[in-house]
Amino acid sequence: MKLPFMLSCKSATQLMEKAHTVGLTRKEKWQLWMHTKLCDACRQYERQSRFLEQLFQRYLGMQNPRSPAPPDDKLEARILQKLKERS
Amino acid sequence: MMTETDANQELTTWVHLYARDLYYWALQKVSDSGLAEDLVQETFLVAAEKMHTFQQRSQPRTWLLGILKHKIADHYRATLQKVPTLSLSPEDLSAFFGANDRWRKETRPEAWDAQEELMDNQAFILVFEECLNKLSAMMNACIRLKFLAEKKAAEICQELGVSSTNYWQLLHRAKLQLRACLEQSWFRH
Repeated sequence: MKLPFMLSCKSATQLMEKAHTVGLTRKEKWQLWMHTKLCDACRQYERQSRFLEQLFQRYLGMQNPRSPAPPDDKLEARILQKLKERS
Repeated sequence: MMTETDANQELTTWVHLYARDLYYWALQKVSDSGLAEDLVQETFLVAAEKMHTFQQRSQPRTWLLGILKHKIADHYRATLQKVPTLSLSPEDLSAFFGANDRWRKETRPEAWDAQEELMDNQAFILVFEECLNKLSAMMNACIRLKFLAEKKAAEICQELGVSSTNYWQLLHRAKLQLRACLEQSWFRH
């Protein structure tokens, strides 16, 4: 059964993204809340979407604890060469 | 005031101390070894020009990272400027949603095992990066730029000349694709 005020899964997941970007109206907030309350798949999606955001934040953002780089003398030599050519 | 010889010596020391580190950092952001090296090289060239503005009390690594960050962000801006604004509009989502715009049976999200522990799992992060690179160049650049430049979505939209509606629809699509790729290459592997 489809209730007229119920969002589709497509709209619900779109609204989650809209919420981050421009925010939701009261009606949209209520609709989204209602939908995720009833839809297990969209609850999972929301959780996974938050996880993706955390990954973006951590791996694409400025703070980034990357494991130490293996030595590469050639890389350094090439950069020093470039610096020399400059002058 | 540093003399030029001093500055050159200092710079050489920095290359030995930080070049590899910067390179690996850049590699993570751009996923292309040639490009990462070019960007690091350019970073040191900029540093050489601006050596006189370097405050002795600041950390050289932080200062260099700042330059590198701008270089990478400029690279993604240039990528995005090359694509017509039209391609930033949402596409068909019927691969994910079927009748009545409900999840298709094959794409219906189910819980991911041990999701929280994956944040530090190197093997998983590699798969995540691969999946990220499978997105269209434009989507990939959009996401990377947003997180690298640490800007609010609204500012990024303005900068890229995208409407905010197109922007969140774009992110929605990117996440759907990324999810599908991770499921295929990791969770159901």
